[in-house]
Amino acid sequence: MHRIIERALREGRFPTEPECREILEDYGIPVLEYAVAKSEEEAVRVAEEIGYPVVMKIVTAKGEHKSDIGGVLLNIKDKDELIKSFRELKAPMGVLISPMVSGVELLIGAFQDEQFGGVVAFGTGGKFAEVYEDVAYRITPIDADTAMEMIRETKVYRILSGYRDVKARDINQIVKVLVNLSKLVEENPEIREIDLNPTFSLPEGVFVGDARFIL
Amino acid sequence: MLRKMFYPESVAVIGASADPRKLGHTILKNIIDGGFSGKIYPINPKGGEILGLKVYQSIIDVQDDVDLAVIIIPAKLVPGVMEELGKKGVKAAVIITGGFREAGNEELEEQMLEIAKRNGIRVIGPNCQGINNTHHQLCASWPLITLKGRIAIASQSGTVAAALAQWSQNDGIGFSTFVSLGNKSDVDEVDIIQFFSEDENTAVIALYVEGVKDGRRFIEAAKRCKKPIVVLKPGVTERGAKAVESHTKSMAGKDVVFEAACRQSGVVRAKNLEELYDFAKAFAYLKTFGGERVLIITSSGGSGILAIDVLESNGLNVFETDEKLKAKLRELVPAHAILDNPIDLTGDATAEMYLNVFKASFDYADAFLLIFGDPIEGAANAVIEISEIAKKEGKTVVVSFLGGGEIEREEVAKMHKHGIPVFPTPERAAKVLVALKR
Repeated sequence: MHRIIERALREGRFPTEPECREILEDYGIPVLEYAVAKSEEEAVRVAEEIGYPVVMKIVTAKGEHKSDIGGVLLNIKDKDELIKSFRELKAPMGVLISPMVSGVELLIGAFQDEQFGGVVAFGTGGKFAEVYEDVAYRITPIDADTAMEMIRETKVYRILSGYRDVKARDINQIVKVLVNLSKLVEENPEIREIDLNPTFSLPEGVFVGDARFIL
Repeated sequence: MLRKMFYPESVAVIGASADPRKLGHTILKNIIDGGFSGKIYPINPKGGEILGLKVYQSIIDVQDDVDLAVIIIPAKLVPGVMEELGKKGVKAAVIITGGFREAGNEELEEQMLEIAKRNGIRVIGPNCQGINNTHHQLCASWPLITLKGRIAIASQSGTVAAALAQWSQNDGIGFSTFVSLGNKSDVDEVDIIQFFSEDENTAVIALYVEGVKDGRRFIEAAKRCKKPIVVLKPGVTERGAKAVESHTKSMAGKDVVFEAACRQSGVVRAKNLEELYDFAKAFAYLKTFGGERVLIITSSGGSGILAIDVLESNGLNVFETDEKLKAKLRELVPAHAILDNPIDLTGDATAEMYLNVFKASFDYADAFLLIFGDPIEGAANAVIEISEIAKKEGKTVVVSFLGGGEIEREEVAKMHKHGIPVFPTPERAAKVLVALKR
């Protein structure tokens, strides 16, 4: 079990997004650049380092959908907007700032099934992921071949293979993410649910944009 | 471990009845009429004689060993009888009686199961329709079906199992063993897969399950199984899953996860009862194929198109015939025949044309779909020859026959007798081809 999960369990809470990202990075799953800010000044400084436009999210240990509770502000263009946003979120545990990117939005996730144990999921991500229902599932552990097979099962695979103005992506990077996620699930069965939506497929690689773990 | 369950040398019918309206009578009668060659012991406290057999008041009174007990008595009396089985050393029991977990009596089922475990008794049911091993002439079930075949049918619904059994009899192909699993208190889908994987009379396992008890064990067993497995698992919708709970108290689980489990363990998933039967029938006699090129030979243009749509939308390729093949075929068929794929021999097709076209186009396709859409005499003989060639060369041939009246009935019966499955619509035959693709 990962030490962060151990600690969260001990403290009777869910891991925060920065903690989830740390776990993901430990398992070789790349996350989008980010920094945590606890004060206005700090927020301004990290936003400038990252470069506008940015995304600002509240840090919470309750595992809720942050956008459902108004905890996500997108496309913040400058310092004034950033300060306004920071005040609006009133986040006691601070905020997480990340660059605003656009790419192919993927849903990558996992959960513990009562009958079959660990399951990983891959498909079309974004706000409407549940409406599109373009998701392939596999029971863990999975190898690279199985990961490839599940990617090929989805419609988003056609987009990732190069569609209209979208350049073809390196599918092997997604394969790696899925195999690593499977490892994370197998080694941490205490995590009931992992939600990495959206994960961005950019021309330079695949990066987790949001992470939520339920214990 | 289940050998004594499915191949017993002696059977006790506990709750045997002289009243022909009672299941305790039907089952005893079916065991006798089915031609069971071992010892049969009717058990009933009233004693006397039923159907010419001496009735024992208790199983304890039976002198010789008893391999299998079939139990048809009120639920509350079952634990007592199980204790007696323990004393007698019976190791296999089929409990037909309902009124356990499915009726809210969890404790009674637990109590029964505890006695079974303590005494090393394997249990099928309770709340089930029994078992029928045609190869052992043991019909401890209803209706009485004796036709020997290759399909093992195991189902959590007695009626679903009986329907498959009935269809297999109507088709003249029969089944190997029928198992009604009921509440699956002990013997479950994993035991079934493990047993029939080794059963010499079974070529395919057809399963209807409403829930899987242990997912990981299911996957392992399915991966190791030496026979193809076809599964129908309902409860796909939320309401359906709820109904599963009240029917057999199973957990339907997430359908997407079960689907993943099937894909990962090579289990063929049927979407409905018709597919469960069709796929089981196909896998009992036909081999899977690699590649995706399918050639359709038909006497009915419409039927050919119906098949194309199913094949093409499921990843198979109904390729266009090239000039070289067309030139070859022109010699063999009437001038008005259509030489594209589907090769439409039209209404005056003869069985011989199918054979000739098949031979001429043999190298062009990985699999063939033969559609007889008219009363074509001699179809069976041609198909038997075609199947022999196909088998030798590792190609798959699927047959559909429709619109052929009395001749169709005769030809289809003949093909089934020769172990060549025939499907009544082009779409069903096409779906079978899709299922057979590796």
